[in-house]
Amino acid sequence: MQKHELQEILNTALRSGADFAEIYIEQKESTAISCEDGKIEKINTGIDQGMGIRVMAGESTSYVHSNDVSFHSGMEMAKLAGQITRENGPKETVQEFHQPKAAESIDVKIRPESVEFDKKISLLRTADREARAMSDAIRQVSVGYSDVVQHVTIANSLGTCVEDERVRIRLACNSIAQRDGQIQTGFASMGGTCGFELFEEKSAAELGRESAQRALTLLDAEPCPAGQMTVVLSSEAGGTMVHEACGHGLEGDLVRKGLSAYAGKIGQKVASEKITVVDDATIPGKYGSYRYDDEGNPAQKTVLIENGILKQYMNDYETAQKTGAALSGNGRRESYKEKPVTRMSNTYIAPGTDKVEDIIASTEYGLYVKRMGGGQVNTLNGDYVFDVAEGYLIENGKITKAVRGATLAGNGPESLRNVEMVGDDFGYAIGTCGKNGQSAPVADAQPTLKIRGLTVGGTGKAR
Amino acid sequence: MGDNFLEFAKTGLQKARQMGADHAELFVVRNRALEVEIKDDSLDQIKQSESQGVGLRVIKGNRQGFSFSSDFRSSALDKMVSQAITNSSYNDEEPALRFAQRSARYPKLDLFDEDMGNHSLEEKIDLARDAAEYAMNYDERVQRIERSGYEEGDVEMWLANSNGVALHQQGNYCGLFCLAIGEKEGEQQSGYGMHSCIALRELSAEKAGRMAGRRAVQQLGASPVESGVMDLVLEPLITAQILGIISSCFSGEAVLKNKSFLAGKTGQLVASPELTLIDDGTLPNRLGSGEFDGEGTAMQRTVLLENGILKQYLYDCLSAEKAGTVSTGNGMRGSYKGTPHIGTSNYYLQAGEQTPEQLIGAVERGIYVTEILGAHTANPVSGDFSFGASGILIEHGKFSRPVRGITIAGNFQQLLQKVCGVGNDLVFYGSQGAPTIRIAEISVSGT
Repeated sequence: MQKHELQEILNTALRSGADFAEIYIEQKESTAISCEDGKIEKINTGIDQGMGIRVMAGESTSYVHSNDVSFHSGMEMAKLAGQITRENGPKETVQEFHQPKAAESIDVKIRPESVEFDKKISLLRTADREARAMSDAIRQVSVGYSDVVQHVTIANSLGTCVEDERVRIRLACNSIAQRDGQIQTGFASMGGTCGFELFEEKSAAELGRESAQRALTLLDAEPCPAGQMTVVLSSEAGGTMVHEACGHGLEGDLVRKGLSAYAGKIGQKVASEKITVVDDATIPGKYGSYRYDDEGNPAQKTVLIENGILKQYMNDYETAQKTGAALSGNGRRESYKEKPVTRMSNTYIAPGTDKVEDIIASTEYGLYVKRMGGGQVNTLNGDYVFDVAEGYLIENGKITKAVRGATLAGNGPESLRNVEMVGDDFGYAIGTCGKNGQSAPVADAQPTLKIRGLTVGGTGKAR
Repeated sequence: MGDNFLEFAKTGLQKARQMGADHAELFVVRNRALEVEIKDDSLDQIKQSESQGVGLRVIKGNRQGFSFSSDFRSSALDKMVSQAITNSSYNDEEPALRFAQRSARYPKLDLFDEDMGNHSLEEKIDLARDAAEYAMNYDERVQRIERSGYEEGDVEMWLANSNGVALHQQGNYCGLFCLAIGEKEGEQQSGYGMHSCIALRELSAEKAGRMAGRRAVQQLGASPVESGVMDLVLEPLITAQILGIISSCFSGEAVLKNKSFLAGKTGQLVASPELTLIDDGTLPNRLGSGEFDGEGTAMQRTVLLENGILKQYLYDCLSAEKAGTVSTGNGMRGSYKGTPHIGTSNYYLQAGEQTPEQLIGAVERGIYVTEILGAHTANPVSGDFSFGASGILIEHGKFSRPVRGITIAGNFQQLLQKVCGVGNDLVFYGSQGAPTIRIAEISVSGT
């Protein structure tokens, strides 16, 4: 769409006295391939496009969207969205357009649409073959590949006008192992805001083997004992902990609505002084990275908690506007069908100074979590739970046998206060975060952490 | 679309055949939706949308190809057809691929409430206000309503394939939701309530509001409980949530691929004789009902578990052909952007005879579970689960105090066997329904 057309649509939306109007146009070209039962079973390619118009007036927001992206449709939507506003409000018009500066461009070396289809297919076949080759006990393997090239145009009445492109790739493998009536699954995934160069870092073969190995390890595992114990989270474990235990509670919309355990605590000590938490969308290539957020604001690195002190929340336009806080480039949306919500990008707990060997050696009895699964948090009181995908017991300062079926339950603020040691290592994991019914790609990272007194759920006998 | 669909389908299917497809299928869907949310008694947000698109499946040389478009111009449709044909060449051969034949009989269902359009936006906003009021008045500890809203939508779909199937159906729905915040001595809890149905006149602000109010206060003052093995009573919402997790185990595809703990067990007692579980796409006035599924097969009633015995899995055309049976009309399709996949229609546990009070009264020491956390992390393949949970402690058949921060772990195979009572209070949440149930001797981990 031409700039003057965007302006006309925005002016139409503002006509009855709105404070703010915004157009979000998206074109998403995607490829998804799945390999099930050793067969390439589903290939889905297509272009999805649509437009959303947001109008804000006083305390009210109106959002209209359609998959018709013509100028005519935009004008109709703007009239509809503009209806909520006061008849005799002050008439605003669009400021002159400018594109704000983003920190740095995200460099895509090998664009997915330049890669031959056969090459994509062979990724899935390789992962499938390698997973099965690990053992006869591997009975089933599913592999999923997806790439997305998303073009967005975002223009608002403050004059922001941004065109951006996000390229993302993901490969995931799920293996099922079966022996003596026992069934276990192992999952592994990789992804980034990048091109096919992703597979230079780690191959599809490695991913397949990793997923099979996880399933096989669980076959030999004993049920996890239940009860309160010290937990050591490996840096490879993924960042479910930082994401669930504190990330969501630091999102500006939840804070503003009084739905967060961290509300009203800026400047206060909310975690052990060993804890520093950062959200950073500018890290090159990570799954949660972007140049501009979905409101056209430049991505940022935001220190949320520094040495245990709460410094800042994450914000989008609406929360920044209503609380007087600074924008942090955290306004994200799943697609043109949704208005943006405040959410994380790449979130991590910064590395500390403790040696990993010392952390384990100092633990007399506890659970070593090598890999976390999914999780969930009740942000209002901070209670969280997450699944342990791969865990081992620590006995007398040594990692001993594998355990299965463990869940960790705790309270976010309490767990962060109970962090006793923070490792000098660091590891990433990718995830898909769900909030308000919208999903978004994120990455989480952390060093090895030792936390005392978490409730471990399991079916095994307590010590 | 309307009358033009037959013409459109004829052209599209012909085009696909001309470009080399052995079989072709067109699926067109049009959605309209409205959502309003109020906060502090005034309009907080309004969301309106409209979309339409078409998905094309082809079979060429026993390979499936798929593509979609939201652009109905002829050049875009040509591109869609050639893309589907190209995609088919990369798929592996699957001799069992079939598109639906015309079903002998399609259920006649009235799933469209004409009256919904006759009511003004203001009336609909008032319903959301009413729900908020019911929540506020439920208990004096309900401190505020975080949000309350009304939503409605209508979906119209057309399907045609080269077997001569040509179908159309239209349905709508409406719903109310409410998020209430309860507070006592500085501690806050949130409670979500909802009610949804097809006909606007049946929409109940009281049900949505009272549910939110109750859930906002019932956990206030909760504290941990000691670990142990005890009985659980699940409120209907939680029963429905847990049954929802294992619904994928009834998928004929999951069974064929060895991804279900119920594989190879038809005719066997896999659950307590108290349990009869049904999938029924022909129920009047239910959100999961339809005359045909996403492939054009008639929807039907399928008994999955009957008195604990596994009777039947759910099938779409492909998995049915592979298993040597016929589709149960469960090839579901939510959008024009994807191919059909096996899913449930109205999936519910049949009501039993005991009242919830009788179920609770029979428990010496146990937990009435009102919330589970991390349900999506349960493993439907192995059946292992481990949830975070909160609820109310039951002692000597009576509620004693709220509890939180516990985890419940086990395996669904055992959990299903351990059900020892089913309530008479079947409640539907959207298209899934369940009554209160009692489960014996589950390991609960607390302090």
